[in-house]
Amino acid sequence: MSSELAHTPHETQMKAYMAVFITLMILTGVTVGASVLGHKMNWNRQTAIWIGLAIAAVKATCVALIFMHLKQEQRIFYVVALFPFALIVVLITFTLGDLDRWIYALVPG
Amino acid sequence: MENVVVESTEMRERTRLGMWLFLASEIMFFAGFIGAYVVLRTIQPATTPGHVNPFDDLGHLNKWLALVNTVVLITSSLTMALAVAAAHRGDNKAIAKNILITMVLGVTFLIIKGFEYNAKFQADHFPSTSVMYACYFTMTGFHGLHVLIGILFLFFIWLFAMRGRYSVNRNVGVEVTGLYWHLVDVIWIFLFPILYLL
Repeated sequence: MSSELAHTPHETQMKAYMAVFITLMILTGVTVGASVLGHKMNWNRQTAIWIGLAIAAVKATCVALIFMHLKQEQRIFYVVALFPFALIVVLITFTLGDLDRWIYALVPG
Repeated sequence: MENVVVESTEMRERTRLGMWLFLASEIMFFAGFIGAYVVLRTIQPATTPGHVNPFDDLGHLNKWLALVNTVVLITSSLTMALAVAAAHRGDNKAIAKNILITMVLGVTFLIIKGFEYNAKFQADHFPSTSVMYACYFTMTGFHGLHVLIGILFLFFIWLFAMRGRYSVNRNVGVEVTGLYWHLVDVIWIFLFPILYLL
């Protein structure tokens, strides 16, 4: 990565950093906007959480690719970085898919 | 004399890969908390005369302080990236300046978090108050601990930069500290919407 980054012109690199910074700020505003909209339109909890996580995932990708220079790294770095996210998807989706039984256990009466 | 030290390309790649492996384990650490939170929150029935949903208290969290903290951490990620870019140029003065700004922003984050915690304690809200507050204090507490550890690492990087230790061929310490700091930002990017907004 370092050799490729060293060959990246300083100005190009600064522009990329600023672009990511502005994108992150805009997406933070979008997250707040989605929250306000969700409360007004009474989205169900699961929908709201998934929308919040989706926007957060886009922001995290921007940080990883540009700020953490993952874009310039070799393939093995992508494998290491993405593997835990694959596990997280399995962890959360499988557990959420199994929730019906637990919800009834919690309903009073 | 210190600038004579040269890090080979292989050594730098191995160090970065090692850091990414550590970050992967950190991601899984927080994924456990976030997964548990999503499940606990989803299975709670809505508040009825016979049942109070503890997650209704999420509305009492100060989302505006959290928004300010999000802006603070995102800005600190930018200054950290600028510090790493300066390290690749071997510019110790720019490294020290950007690391110092990053540290100040990190401390600002913790101070704001301190105010937020204080308000909760004043209102008699503790981790044992409800499952929602247990989730809130556990996740934000461990995240705050990571910010604190990051600030300590940044302090040493700042000290070394002030002594002119880094050069074009010696900067992997700044790079891996930057990776750690960005991860702290990424974790907050996920905690902010799920705790304060949704």
